[in-house]
Amino acid sequence: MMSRKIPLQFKDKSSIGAFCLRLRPQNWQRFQAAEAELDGVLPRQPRTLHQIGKFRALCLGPDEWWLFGSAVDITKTVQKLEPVFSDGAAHAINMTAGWPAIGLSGPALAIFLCKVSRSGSDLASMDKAGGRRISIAGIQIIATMEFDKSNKAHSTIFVPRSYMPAIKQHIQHLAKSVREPVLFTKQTPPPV
Amino acid sequence: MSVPYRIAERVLPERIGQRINRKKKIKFTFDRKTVPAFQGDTIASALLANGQRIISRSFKLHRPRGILSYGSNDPSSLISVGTGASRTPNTRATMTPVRNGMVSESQNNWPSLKKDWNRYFDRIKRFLPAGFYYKTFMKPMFLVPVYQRVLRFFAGTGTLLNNRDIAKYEHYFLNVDVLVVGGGLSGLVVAEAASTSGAKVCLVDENSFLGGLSDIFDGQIEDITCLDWARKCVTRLAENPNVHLLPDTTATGIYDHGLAIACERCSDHSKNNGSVEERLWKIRALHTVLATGAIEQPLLFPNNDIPGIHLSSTIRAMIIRHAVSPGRRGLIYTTNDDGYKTALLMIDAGIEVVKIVDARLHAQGKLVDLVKANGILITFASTILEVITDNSDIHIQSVVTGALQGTSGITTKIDCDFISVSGSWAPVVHLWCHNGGKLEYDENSVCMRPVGIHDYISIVGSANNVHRIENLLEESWDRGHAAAQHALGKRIRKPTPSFGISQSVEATTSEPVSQIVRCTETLEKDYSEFVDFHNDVTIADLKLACREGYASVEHMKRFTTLGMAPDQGKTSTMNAAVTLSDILKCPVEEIGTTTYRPPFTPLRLGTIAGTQPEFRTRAFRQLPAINWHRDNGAVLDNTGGWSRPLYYARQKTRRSMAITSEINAARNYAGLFDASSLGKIEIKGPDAVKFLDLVYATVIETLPVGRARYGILLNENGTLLDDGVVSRLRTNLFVIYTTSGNADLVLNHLEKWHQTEWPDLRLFITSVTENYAHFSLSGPRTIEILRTLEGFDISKLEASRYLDVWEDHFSGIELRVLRVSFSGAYGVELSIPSNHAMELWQALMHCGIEDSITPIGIDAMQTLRAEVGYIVIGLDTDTDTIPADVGLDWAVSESKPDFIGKPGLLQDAHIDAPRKKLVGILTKHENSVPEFGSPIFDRPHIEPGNVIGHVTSAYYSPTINRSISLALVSEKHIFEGAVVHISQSTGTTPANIRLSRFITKEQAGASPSRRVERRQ
Repeated sequence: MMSRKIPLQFKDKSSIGAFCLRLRPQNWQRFQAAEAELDGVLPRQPRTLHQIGKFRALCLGPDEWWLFGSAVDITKTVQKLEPVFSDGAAHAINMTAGWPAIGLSGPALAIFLCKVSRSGSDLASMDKAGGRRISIAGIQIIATMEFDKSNKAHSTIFVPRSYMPAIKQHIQHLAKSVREPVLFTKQTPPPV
Repeated sequence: MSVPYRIAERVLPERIGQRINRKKKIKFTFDRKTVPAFQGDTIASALLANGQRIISRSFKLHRPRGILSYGSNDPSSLISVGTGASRTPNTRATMTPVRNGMVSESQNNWPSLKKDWNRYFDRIKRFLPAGFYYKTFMKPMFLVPVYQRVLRFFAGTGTLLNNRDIAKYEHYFLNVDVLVVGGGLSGLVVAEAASTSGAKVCLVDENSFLGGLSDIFDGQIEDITCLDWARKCVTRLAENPNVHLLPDTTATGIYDHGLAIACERCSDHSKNNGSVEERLWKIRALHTVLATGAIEQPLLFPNNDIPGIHLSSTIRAMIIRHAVSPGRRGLIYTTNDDGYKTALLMIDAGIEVVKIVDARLHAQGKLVDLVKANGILITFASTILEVITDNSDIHIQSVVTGALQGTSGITTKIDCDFISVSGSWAPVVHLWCHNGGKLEYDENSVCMRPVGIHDYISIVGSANNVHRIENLLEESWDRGHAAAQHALGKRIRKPTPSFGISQSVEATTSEPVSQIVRCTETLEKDYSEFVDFHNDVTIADLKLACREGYASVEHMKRFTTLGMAPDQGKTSTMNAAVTLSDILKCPVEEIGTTTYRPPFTPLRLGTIAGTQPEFRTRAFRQLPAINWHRDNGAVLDNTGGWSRPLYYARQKTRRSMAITSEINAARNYAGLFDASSLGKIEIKGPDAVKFLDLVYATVIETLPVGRARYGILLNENGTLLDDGVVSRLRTNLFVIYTTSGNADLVLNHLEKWHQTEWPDLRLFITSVTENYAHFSLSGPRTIEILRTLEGFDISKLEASRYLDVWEDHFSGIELRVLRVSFSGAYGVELSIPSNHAMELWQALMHCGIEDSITPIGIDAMQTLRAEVGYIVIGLDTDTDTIPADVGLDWAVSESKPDFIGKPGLLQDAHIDAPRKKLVGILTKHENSVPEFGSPIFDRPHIEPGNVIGHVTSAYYSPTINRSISLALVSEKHIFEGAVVHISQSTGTTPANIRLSRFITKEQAGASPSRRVERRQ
C-alpha cells in the first residue's frame, strides 16, 4: 500500500520468503557445513545482518538466525539442508508460509519505528544494517533495518500470518501521524 | 482597553518584555471576562497585567490565591482551559500560553471567584485542622455515605469531563546515549560536552524557551550576557545531528535501567501538526544527566499566601519576559541576594521599592551598594509581622515589619501593594530521588542537596547546589564528557570547552542563613502561616501532627497531606522540614524530607493511555481460511486469542438448528473443522525424546516414528497445564499439538525448563503454529472424501491405525496427516503450509459435496467432544485439577523416574484429601441445559453448605436428543445414577450422575462408511 501524503510507504513482499536456522555455536562442524551450503559466513553478533549467498542473514541470538530472500530459493535451500541436519543437531524451518513479509520505507521510517515500541526505537537507532524481534501492538515480529547507497533506510518486517490484518491496520493508523517530530536531524533552534 | 500593570514599551525595550510581541494583540476570557494580552503571554502574566490578582481558591479553606511562582512549581494557579469536550481542568496558568479566543475559568469556587460562598471556611479554620474529617465524619456509620457526598461536593480542584476526551495522545520511544533533563545553562553545556564527545544526546526541558533562568540572572560568559551565550549554544545544539532538543517536555519520572518518562505538550506550539495534544516519551538512556535547576522557596509569615505575594524570581520573570508589573509599590523580603537583584530590576522598570526586609543579620557587597545608591531602605535581622489586606482579603494594603526573634528593632507599618519573597534556592532533586538518590541537608544554603554516586545518573548545576556560573559551567562540561564516556563505554579525549571566562554578579557576602526565619509564636498566627499552599497546611497543622504523635516527616505527610497532589512538595518540603525541626527541637538533617515519587508534574490519564482507544485492545488472530468462513456465513467469535467460527448460519438458520445440522453431519456424513488455531510446536534434536519424557507425564520414549500419542503436561505441583497429541515424524523430530489458548504458555513452559534446568539437552524448540493450517475432517465418509483429493495417497489412510502420523501430498504440496479425532467419529487431521490453506479447504469442501460435507464451528465441536467425554483443559479443569480428577491417570506414567509434576502428584492434598472428579450429568428434564458454572447441590435446597460441585460444560446433544453436562463433583457423592440438584435461575433441577460416555462408538460414527447413495 502506498501513500503520497504520508512519508512512509509499506507494501506486501509476497515473493520474499524466510527460514529459521537453529545451530548451536559449539557445534562448529555443523556450522561449517551450514555455511558451506549457504555459501557464506553467518553473522555471529546478535542483531547484525549480513549478505550470505543468495540470502540476507539476521542473527537473532547465539543459536538462531533468520535468513530471507527469494521464496523459491528458500524452499530449495531448506530442502538441501535437511539431509545435512538429519541427525537433529541443527534445524532449518521454512517460515515462508507463516511469516509473510512487508517492506517499509520512506523518510519517516525511523519515526514510525519509534512510535511502535521501545524495541522499535532500538531498531530505529541502528546506524548500520541490523534487525531484531520487535513488538507492534503487543505482537512480536521480526524486523530488519537496512540502508541503500544513498543512506536511505528501509526495513523488512516479518509478521505472523494470523496477525497480518491487525498489524497492517496498526501500521496504517500509526503512519498517519508520523510527520513530527523528526529525530536527530538539524532542528530549528527553540527560542531562548 | 487599558492594561494597568503592563510596563510601557519605552522602558528598557531591549530588556523588558522579551517574550511578548506587542504588535500582536490577542484576547481571551477568564471567568467570562475578556482579557487583552500580547502574543507570548502566559495566562498568568496576562491576568497579572490586567490587575487580576486572584486566580483561584485554595483547596480546603477556599482562601484567595494568586501567582506565587512562575513555572510548573506554582502551587495555586490551577484553572480550567477550553470548553465542552476540549475543556482541560487543572491547567497551570503559569505554564499555559495565551491563544486568541481561548476560554479559561477559575476552579473550586461558587458562585464566583471573588464571592465564593465557601470562603467562610477560612473564618472557622481553627475548627478544621488536619485530620478533622477523619475524626469527625466516622460516626454514626450509617451517615458515612451522606458525609462522603457532602464532602465530595466541597472538595477537589476542577471537575472531570462528562463526555469522551476528544484530545489525541501518542507514545514515542527513544533510545539515546545521554539524556539531559533541563535546558538551562548547565543542561546546555552538558548536552554540548556529551555530543562533542560523540554521544547521541536528547535534551528535554519543560519550558518552551530553553536557557532556563539565564534571562533573569545577570552574569557574563565570554564577554556576552548569559542569555546571548545560551542562544548561541542552543543554535549550535540545534544544528548538531547528534542532538535532539525537546522543549515543552517535562521529564516526569526516572525509573530503573535508565528509563525516563517525559510528557511533551504539542498542541500549543507551532511545530506540531495539531493532531496530537500530548505525547508521552519513553526514553532509554545509557546515562542520564539531571540539570533540573533549583526552585526558590517562599517564606513563612502570617498571611503569606495572600494574592500579591510573589517569589522574587517570579517578579523578575514577569517584568523581563512579559513586561508585567505585579503592582505599583513593592516590599522585598529576602534571606539572600535574590531580593536585591529584584529590587534593582524593579527600579529599572519604574516600580517603587518601598523597603528591603533582609532576614540576615548583615550583608555587604556590590549589590547592597547598588541598592543603597538607589535610595532603597534596607533593614537587616527583620521580618514581616503582619500583612494587612482590604475586606476582600485579596488586595494587600500594608505590611508590618519588625525585628526577628531574639533581636531588637522597631516595628514599622509600610504601605505597599505587593510583596516579593525569597527564601532559599532548593535544588530540584525529585528525579534524582526517583531512582534511589540520597539527599543531605546543607545548612549554608538551607536546602537538601544530592549526595552519593549513581551508576547511570548524575546531577549538575544548581540542581547539585552549584550556583555560581563559573563553577557551574566547568562542572557541567566535565559531567557531560563523563556521561558520554560512560554511555559509549570507552575513554574519550576531553574536548575543549566552548566557553571562556565567565563571571556571575554575586556581590553580597553575609552570614549563612541558619534556618528559614519565623517570628511569631501565637496560635492565631500559626493558623495563617502556610507551609503547603496547595493543601492549606499551616504551621498549626504541623504542630498538631507532632502533638498527635505523627512526628516522622512521612507520618506528618499522611496526617496533614503536606507535599501531596500537584505541588509534590516543590515549595513546601523545605519549609516543613525546618518548621518540624523547630517544633521537635532536632536538627533538620534528622527530619529529612518526604519521599519524592513520580510523576514530577501531573500527567493526564489520556497521555498515559496513549494512542487511539481502538488500538489499545488486544488484536485477535485470524485463521488462514478466514475469508472462506466469512463468505459462508460463519458467525465469528474471539476465543483463545483467535477469531473463530462459532457456527455457520447459512440460509438464515437459527443458531440451534445450525449447530444440530453440523453435529448430525459430523456423526453421519462428514464435518470439516478449522483447527488451525491449535498450537503446533516442533521439537528437534538428538535429546528431544529425553526432553519430552521429562516434560510430559506420559511416556514418550516408546513412541515409534510415524505414531502419535495423547500426552498431558503438568505444572510443578502436579496440576494439569495442558494436553494434546505428541507426534513423532522422524527419529529426532516431534511435533506437539497444544490447545489454542495455551500455545504460548506451553512454548514458554518448554523453553523455561530447557533453558533453566536442562540446557545441556541438544534440541531446538520452534513454534510452527503460524506455518501450518490444520483441518480436522471427521465422520464416516472421511475416506470417501479424501479418495478424490488430488495427489492424496488414499492407500496410506486405508492402511492406517488410530494415532498414525505420516506425510502425504495435496496438489504437490506437502501435507502432514494425523489419524486422530476430537469428535469421537472416524477422522483425520491435515496440516498444510498456511499459505495453501484456502486451496486445501476449498478442495475438501468440493470433494465432499456428494458426501454432504459440512463445515462445523466451535459450538458443534464442543458438543461432539462432550458426547464422547473428551475434556477441554481450562474449561473442564481448574488450576487445582490433577489428572486423576478427570480420568486421565492412565496418561500418567508411574514407571518414569521423573517428570515435571511427579513430586507434586504425591502431595497429601492430592492423595488423601477428598477431591472433585469429572463426571457426566443427565438432567431429569431432557431439554434443560444448565449454565456453565452452575453450582451442584446434594439436596434441592440452595444453601452454601450443600454445594458439592459445579457444571463445567453443558450442551444439547442432537445425537441422543437430550441435554448432557460434564461436572466436577465431590467424590463422596459420585456413584452411577446418584441424584444431584443443579442450580438454575428458577431454583434447582434434579439430575443424575453418569459415569460412562453419553453415546456409543456406533452413535459417534467411529467407523468409516462407504458412499451408498446421495443424500436427498
